[in-house]
Amino acid sequence: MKALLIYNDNIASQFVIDFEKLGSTYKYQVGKQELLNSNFTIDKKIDSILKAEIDKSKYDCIFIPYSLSEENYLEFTGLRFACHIRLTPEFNNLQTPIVFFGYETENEINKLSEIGTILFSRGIYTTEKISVQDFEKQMRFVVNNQSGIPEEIFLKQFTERVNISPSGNYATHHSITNEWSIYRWATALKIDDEYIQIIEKNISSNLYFKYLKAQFPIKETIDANNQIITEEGKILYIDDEVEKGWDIIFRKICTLKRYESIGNDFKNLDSSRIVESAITKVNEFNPDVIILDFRLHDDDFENISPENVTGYKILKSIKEINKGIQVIILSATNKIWNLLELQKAGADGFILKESPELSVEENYSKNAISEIYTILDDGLKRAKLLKKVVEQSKKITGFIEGGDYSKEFKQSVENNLAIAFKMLYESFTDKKYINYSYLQLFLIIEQLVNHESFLNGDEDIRVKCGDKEILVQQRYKNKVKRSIKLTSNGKYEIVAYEFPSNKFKRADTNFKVSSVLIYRFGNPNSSTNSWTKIYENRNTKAAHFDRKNNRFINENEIIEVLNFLSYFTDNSNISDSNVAKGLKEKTMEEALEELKKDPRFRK
Amino acid sequence: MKILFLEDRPSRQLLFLPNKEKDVEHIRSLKSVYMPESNECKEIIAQINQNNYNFENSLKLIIVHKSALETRGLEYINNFCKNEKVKLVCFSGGISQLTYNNEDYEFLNINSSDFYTERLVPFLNGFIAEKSETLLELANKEWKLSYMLLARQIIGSIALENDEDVKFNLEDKLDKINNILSFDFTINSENTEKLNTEIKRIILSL
Amino acid sequence: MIFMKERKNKYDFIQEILESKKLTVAQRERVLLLAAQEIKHENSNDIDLLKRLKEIEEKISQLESVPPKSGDGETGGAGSKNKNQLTHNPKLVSQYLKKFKENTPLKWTTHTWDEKKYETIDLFIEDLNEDKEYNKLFNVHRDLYNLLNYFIYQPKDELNEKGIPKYGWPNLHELKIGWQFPNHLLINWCKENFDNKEDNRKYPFQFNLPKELQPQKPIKGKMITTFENVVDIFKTEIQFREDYFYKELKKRNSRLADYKFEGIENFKNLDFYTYTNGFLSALDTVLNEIKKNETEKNILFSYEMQENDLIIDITQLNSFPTRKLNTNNLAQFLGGGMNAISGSIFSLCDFSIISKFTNEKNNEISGELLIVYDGIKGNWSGKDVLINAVPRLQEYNKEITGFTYRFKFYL
Repeated sequence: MKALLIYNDNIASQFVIDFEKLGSTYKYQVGKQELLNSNFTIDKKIDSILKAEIDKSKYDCIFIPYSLSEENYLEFTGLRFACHIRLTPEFNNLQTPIVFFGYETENEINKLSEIGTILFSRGIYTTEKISVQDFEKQMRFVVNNQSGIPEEIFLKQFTERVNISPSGNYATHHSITNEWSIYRWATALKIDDEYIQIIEKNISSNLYFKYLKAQFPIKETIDANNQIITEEGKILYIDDEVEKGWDIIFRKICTLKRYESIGNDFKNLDSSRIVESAITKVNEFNPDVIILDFRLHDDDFENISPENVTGYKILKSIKEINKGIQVIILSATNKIWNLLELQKAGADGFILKESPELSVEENYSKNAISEIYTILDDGLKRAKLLKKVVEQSKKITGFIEGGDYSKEFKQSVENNLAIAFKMLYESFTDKKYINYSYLQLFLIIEQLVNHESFLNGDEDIRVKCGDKEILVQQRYKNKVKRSIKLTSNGKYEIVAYEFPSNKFKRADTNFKVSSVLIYRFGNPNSSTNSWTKIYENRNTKAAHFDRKNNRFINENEIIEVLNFLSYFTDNSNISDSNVAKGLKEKTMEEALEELKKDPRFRK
Repeated sequence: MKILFLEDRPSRQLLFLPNKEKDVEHIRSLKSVYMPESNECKEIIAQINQNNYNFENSLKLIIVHKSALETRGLEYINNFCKNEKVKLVCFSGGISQLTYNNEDYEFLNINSSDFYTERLVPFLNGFIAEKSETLLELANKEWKLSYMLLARQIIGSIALENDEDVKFNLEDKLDKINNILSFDFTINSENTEKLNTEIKRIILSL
Repeated sequence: MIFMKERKNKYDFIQEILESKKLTVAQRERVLLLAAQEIKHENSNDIDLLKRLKEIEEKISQLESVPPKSGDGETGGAGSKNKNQLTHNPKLVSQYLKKFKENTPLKWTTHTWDEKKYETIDLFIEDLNEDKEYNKLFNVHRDLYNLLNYFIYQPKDELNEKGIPKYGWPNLHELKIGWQFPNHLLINWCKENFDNKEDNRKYPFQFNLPKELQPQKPIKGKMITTFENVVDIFKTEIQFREDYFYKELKKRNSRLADYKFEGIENFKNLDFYTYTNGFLSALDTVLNEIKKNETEKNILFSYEMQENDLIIDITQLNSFPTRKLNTNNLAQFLGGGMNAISGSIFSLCDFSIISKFTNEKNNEISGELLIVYDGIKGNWSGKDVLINAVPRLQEYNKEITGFTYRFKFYL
C-alpha cells in the first residue's frame, strides 16, 4: 500500500519523517519570488505540482491537512488542493480516497469554506487523530471500503456536490466566458494549433475551468472541413484580444476567404484612438463583413451606458462609411439592453460567446458554430448588394447636393433612398421587399423628372438644358404636337408628330423621362442607361409581384435603377446636342389664330 | 504619507464599495493616504515598472492594483518593502484565492471583490491610528479565528515534534500569534480547552 | 566504535583507543596531545570526558579520511603541515562575506533573480567561476572555504554505491547540494526550465530536490525540499540577520532554564556577516564553561558597535576564575573549553577574557587576556582548528563585573 502526504512547515517534522514508511511526502510551500510573479495564481501552483512535481503513480490514499497556508488558516488551501486532485485527470488519482486531517469538524469546515462541501463527496474522509499509527489504520479502512465507479459518473456526482465558483464578480477581460468559449469552440472545430494549446495551458490550471470541463464534457465536434462559407467577400475581425485565440478560430471558419484581423496594438491606446485605428483599417481593407468585439478598452468594463462603449462607437463610424458593410457583434454580454442598443445603432448580427451556463445544452457548441457560418454567409450576401447600393446612393445624394434643389426636395430624395435601402435589407428576409424597394427608387425618378430644373409644364412641356428650354410637347386647340415618338422598339426617338386633341392624355413618366434623356442629356433615344427596361420592370415585375411564379426584381436590376439615378442626377451628363431638335414654339400668328377660335372670345 | 494607494481604475471602487462615493470621498479625505487620480496614478505605476520611482520615507503601507504592474515593477516594490519593512497589499480581479505571506514583510494578495468591501474603510482608519494588527483584517472579518485555528494546528504539531529547532520555531510562531490576539497559548490542557471553546463559539455564531 | 561503558580510569580509556585503532605515529602523538589537554582540565567529570573522547575518536576518523579536494590553491596530501596551517584573519573573512550583499555574482547565489538578470544558467555560472577570491580563505577559515566550495563551486564529486555524494556541507553534512554540485544537477534542471524561457519560466530557487538529496530530518527547523530552502539555510550559515542570533540565545536560555540571560532583547535585529556556526559553537562552549559555576546564575549579554567593530560580551556576573593565572605561563590558564572556543571563532573574531584573576603570587590582577588576536596561527585538524599561540595579558581599566568572554568582530 502506498500513501501520499501533503504537508507544510506547520506540520510536525517528526510526523512527516515517520510517515515515510507509509509512502511518500510532498511539502507545499510558496516562495516569495513565485508569489511576486505577475502571473502567479494558487491554481497554477497546485496544478503544476500535480502535473510536474509529484510522482503520478496511483496512490491508495492521500492525506492532506485542511489548511496548507503558513499564516492564514482560513485560506483552506488543502481543500482547494483536493479539488484539484479530483478534477485533474493527468494526476491519475481522480478517485483516490483523500483523508483530511485537522481539528475542525466537517460542519465547521463547511461553514468556513465555500468549497467545504467536498467533505461530503464520495471518497473523502476526515480525521482528528494525527499520528502515523492512526493514519495507517485509516488507510487500511479506506482501502477496504473504497470501490471505483465509472469516471464519468464519478465526475458528475462530484460536480453536483461541490460548487466551485469563478473568481470574484469582476467582469474583466479575464472573464471565464471568453476562455471557456475559445476552449469549447477550438475543440469543437478540432483546431490543433500550437497557439490554442498555449491558451489552453494558461486557463487549464484554473480550478473553475477544470470544474466546467468536468461538468460539461465536449462530446460532439464539428467537422470544419465540411462546413464552408460559400459567399465571396472580405471579412475583418476587430478585437483588442485578437491573440487570445479568437483569431485562430475565425481564421479557421473563414478559410479561403480574404480574412484579416486587427487589434493587437489596442492595448496602449485610449478609446478614441482605438476607434481611429479601426476605421483606418476599414477604409484601407474595405471589408464586406466585420466581426467586432463589443468591449475593446478597459473603460468599457465599467458601468457605462452602451453608447460610450468603444465597440458601439466603432459600429457607428463603420455605418457612416458605408452602412452596407455588415457588422456582426462578438460579445459575451447577456444584457439584452446592450444588444438592443447595438441593434438600433445598426448591428447586423450577433455572435454570443459560449458562457458555461449555455453549455448545459447538448450540442450547444456545435450549433453555435454552425450558426456562425450562417451569419457570415448571410452577411457576405447582404454586403455584396448593400455596399453597392450605399455607394451609388451616396453618389446620387452628392449630385443632388450640388444641384439647384430646395432643402425639402433634397431631404425627400434622401429619405426615399433610405427607405429603399431599408426595404432591400428586409428583402433578405422576405423577398417581396425587393420589389417595394424598386418602386421606391422609381419614385425618385418621378420626383426628379417633375422637378422644375428638369422639365416644366403640363400641356406645353419644356425640357431644361442649361439655360435653354426645349419644347417637347405643345397643345393646340385641336391637336397636340410632340417632338419625340414611341417607336415599335419600345423606345422614344426624335420624331415630331401630332395627334388630335381629344386623344390627349397627360404625359406619362416614360415620355417625360425620355424627353429629358434626349434633350437634356443629348441622347439619340430613350433606351440609354437601361431606361426602357427600367420602365418596363416597374410596370410588370415590380408592381405585381408574383411569388408563385417567382417573378421578383433581382439585385442587378436594383443596381441598374441606381445607376440610372446616378446618371440622371449628374449634371455633367448634360449635353446640348439635341437642343435644336425640339418643337418650334407656336408663332404669334398661330397663337392668335388659336385665340380667335377660343369660345371665350367669340362674339 | 503613510499609505500609498494606487488604483488605476477608480470606477471599480464605485462598483464595489458599499457606500460608493461616500467611501471614496472618505478615503480621499484621509491625510495619511495618498491616492493619486487616474493620470498621475498611471504615471507612478509606469515609473515603478521602470524601477525609477522614489517612495516616500514615511510610507508604511502600499496598496496597488496587481495587474497594472509588470513583474519588474513587482520586484521593485518587493525590494523596497523588504528593505524598509513596508507592508504590501496587491488586489486584482484575476486572483482566485487569497494569499498571505509574512516572510520578510506582510504581503496580502487579494481579489478586488474581497478587497473593496465594508472592511476597507475601517481598516484604513485603524491602520492610520496604528491600531491595526494584521493585514488579514482586510481579508476577512474572522481574521482572529484564522489565527486561533492556526494556533491550534501549531499546538498539535508541537506535541508531536521531537526536533528542538522545529519546536522552537513553532513555539515562536505561537508567541507571535499570542501577541496579535492577546491570548495565552502556554501549552497546557486548560488553555487548549479555552481555545477550543472559543473557536467553537465563534464558528457557531457565523 | 568503542563501547562506552563506565570508565573510572581515564588513562585506561585512552590506552584502549591507542591500542584498538591502527594509528600512524603522527596520529598517535596527536591523540596523546589531545588527551593530555583534556585530562589537564580540573573540573572534568566522566560524562564530559566521554564526550570529549568521542570527539577525539571523530577527529581520528577524520584524520584517516581525506577531505574533499577542489579548485586552485590546493597542494599535497592530508599530512602536509603547510597545507593545514591557518592564519587568523577575521577581516579577510568579513570582507569576503560582504560580497554577498554587494553587486557581485555571489549576491545572486542568495537573492531572487531579477527578471532580466541572466538569460541562461551558464552565463551565471561563468560569472561565478570567474571569482576565485574564496581560495584565499583556504588558509584562513577551512570550514567556510569548504562551505563555499559545496554551495557555490565544484567540490570533488565522490559518490557512494547509491549515487549519492559521500560528503556534504561542513556542519550540515546532510546538505549535499549547491549551485554546481553534485554533478551539475541544478544546472541541468535550469537548462530545461529556466534558460531562454518566456512562458512557464521557473527560477533556480524553485528546483525541487530529488528525494535522495532531501535530508531525512529538518535542518535548522525546516524540512528541506526546494533549492530555496537550501539557500535560506546557507544564508543563515554566513549571516546573523534579523532575529536569528536572538532566537539562538533564547533557545540556549531555555536549555539553561535556571540561568538568567540578561540583555538578550537587545540582540534582536543584530545583523552581521560571519560563519555563524563557528560563533554559535563558541557560544555553546562558553555556556558550558559558565555552567561549571553553579552559584552565579546571572549572565549578561551585551554588544557595542565602534565604527566597524562589533564587540560582543558575555559575562557571568560575579563569577571569577578559581584557577590561578600564572603570568609567566599564561597558556597554562587555558583549558579545553578555552581552546575549543578559540578554535571555533578562529578567523571570525578576536577572542579575549576579561576578569579579575589571581596570579601565581595570589595577588588579584584585573586584565584582559587576549587569546585569539591578529596574526596568530592555527592548525587544521581536519575538523577543528587548534590554535598555535600564547595568550597575552593587557591592562583593563573599566569596571569588571564578572568573567567576561569578549568577541571582537571586524565588520
